[in-house]
Amino acid sequence: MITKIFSHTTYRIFASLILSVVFSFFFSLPLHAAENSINVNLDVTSCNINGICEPELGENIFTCPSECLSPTVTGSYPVNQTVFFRNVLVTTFFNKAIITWQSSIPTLTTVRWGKTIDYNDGSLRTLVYTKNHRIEITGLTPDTLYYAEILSTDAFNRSLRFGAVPFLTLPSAGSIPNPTHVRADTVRDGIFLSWINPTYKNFEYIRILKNTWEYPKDPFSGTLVYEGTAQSFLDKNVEVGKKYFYSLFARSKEGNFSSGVFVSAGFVKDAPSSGEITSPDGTITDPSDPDFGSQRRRPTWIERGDFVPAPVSSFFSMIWTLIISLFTTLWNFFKGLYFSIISLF
Amino acid sequence: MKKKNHKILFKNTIFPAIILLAVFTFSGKIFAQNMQSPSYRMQTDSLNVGGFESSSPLYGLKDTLGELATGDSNSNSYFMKAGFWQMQESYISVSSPPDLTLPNIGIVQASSEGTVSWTIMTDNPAGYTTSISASTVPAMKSPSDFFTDYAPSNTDPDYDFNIAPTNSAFGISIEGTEVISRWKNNGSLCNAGTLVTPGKCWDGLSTTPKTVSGSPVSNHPNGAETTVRFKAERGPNRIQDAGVYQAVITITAIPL
Repeated sequence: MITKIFSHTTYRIFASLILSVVFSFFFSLPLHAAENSINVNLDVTSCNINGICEPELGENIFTCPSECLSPTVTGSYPVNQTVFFRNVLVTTFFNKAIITWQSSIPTLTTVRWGKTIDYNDGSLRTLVYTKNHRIEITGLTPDTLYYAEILSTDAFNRSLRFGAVPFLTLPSAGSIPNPTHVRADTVRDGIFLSWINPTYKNFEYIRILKNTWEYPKDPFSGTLVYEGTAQSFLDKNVEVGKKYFYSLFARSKEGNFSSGVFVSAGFVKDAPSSGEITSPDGTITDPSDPDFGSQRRRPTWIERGDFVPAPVSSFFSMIWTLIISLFTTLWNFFKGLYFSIISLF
Repeated sequence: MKKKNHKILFKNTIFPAIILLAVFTFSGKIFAQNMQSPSYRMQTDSLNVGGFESSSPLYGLKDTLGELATGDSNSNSYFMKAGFWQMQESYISVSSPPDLTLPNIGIVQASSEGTVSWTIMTDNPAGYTTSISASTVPAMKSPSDFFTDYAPSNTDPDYDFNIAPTNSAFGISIEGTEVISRWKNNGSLCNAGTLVTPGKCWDGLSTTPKTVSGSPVSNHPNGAETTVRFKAERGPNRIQDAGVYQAVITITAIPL
């Protein structure tokens, strides 16, 4: 009995030994891994969906297709053809500049400009791929040096930057005064413009331009209607019910223009005859008038619309003057009201 | 009869016990030595009569039965923890940096970069390796859109971050003193040279861990910093949905 117990104990010890060795090998050595997790966050903003394509914010057909028109590529060209410009031409005006150039392949273009090469004054972006480019920059200051930069991108997103392109707007008109006493009156035959030429020794002539939607901004925009040294002009090329915007510029013999004077008038039926209107100095300027070029002896309307009464005795003259003054005031009031209503339509 | 029983007892019990005791006595010299292969090294082992790892939800127990001369002892200069389990007290640690918020990507701003650094420290004589993984494919996602995981042009990371104009991608570049050779460069190629250049050698993330750094020896007590540079980029012709994008990144340091 004792023998069996001892024998059994020995085998148990031996078995325990084997298990200990096995488990020591399999379970005692490995260390546990160390771990750490983080979040990487990123905000992405896209076009602002305000219905307006705003290139200055980076919106274009790719970043904001719902707001920017699809550019159209005309023609085809090899992929390996490079972008280059030719015939870059800047035409300067009084307060605008037109930049034209050609690119070797169709491109979209962004033009930035400014008084320094930071080009901070403005930018324009085209939305159509083309080889012939024309950008008109308006609202410039006369007699000022500007710099422009042209950035073109083709359909393969290759881009070419060109600049700085310097250009100088036409000399300031400040050196020559504007015409004065400018006014526009509607008469039966058209719109009668009158003014007084500047008393400037190198004054050469007056240049008048007109538009039907806005004032011509410089001596080179709008329709030229008059050039000369007279001090009034009857514009017969008008239509009933339309409003006309006139700009008058004085030009010096050096070729400089004044900054311009702007006046507008609407043409209506039943306006007074042009014979009742004279220029501020009383010169008859209508070529159809038999007294063309002469001084009207009894001008009806002169500058500021004052009425000149006939000579009568002092008492009646005073009464007459009061009546006429009242009549003139009412006439001017209703005339202004009438043109205001007309201008609304 | 009694004499015969004593003989049987000696033959069947005492003699095997003596043999076993002899085996136990010399077993330390026979088994308790460091073993190694070309790939692995047995740091310590123990040959005793019992022992096991056991655990409950709250506690764990590691015991060995039969060890001699165990316990703590110390002098003015040294402190000794004697015993098999106490020798297993190597450690590895990974720091816990805050989440990373990359700069916004907008209509004009097309790319965004940021870095996160982890300090890995271990006294394991065989060193460690660190790997990185993402929780999803692709890693950087919003509810409506995603950045594709950056795909290098071949098996090695790309020296520069290059994507197609119509694509957007999210990738990583690794920096640090213990970066593995795959993330090093020679000035133009990755997995070549010894340079570790910030912003060079880009690869994408995956749910499968990618090894980024490591050491064949202990770096205790200073540890080593592994910096991961994250980059998201939208190609100029890529329409990327606006929104909040997020990637969950896990760094795992494994002792060797």
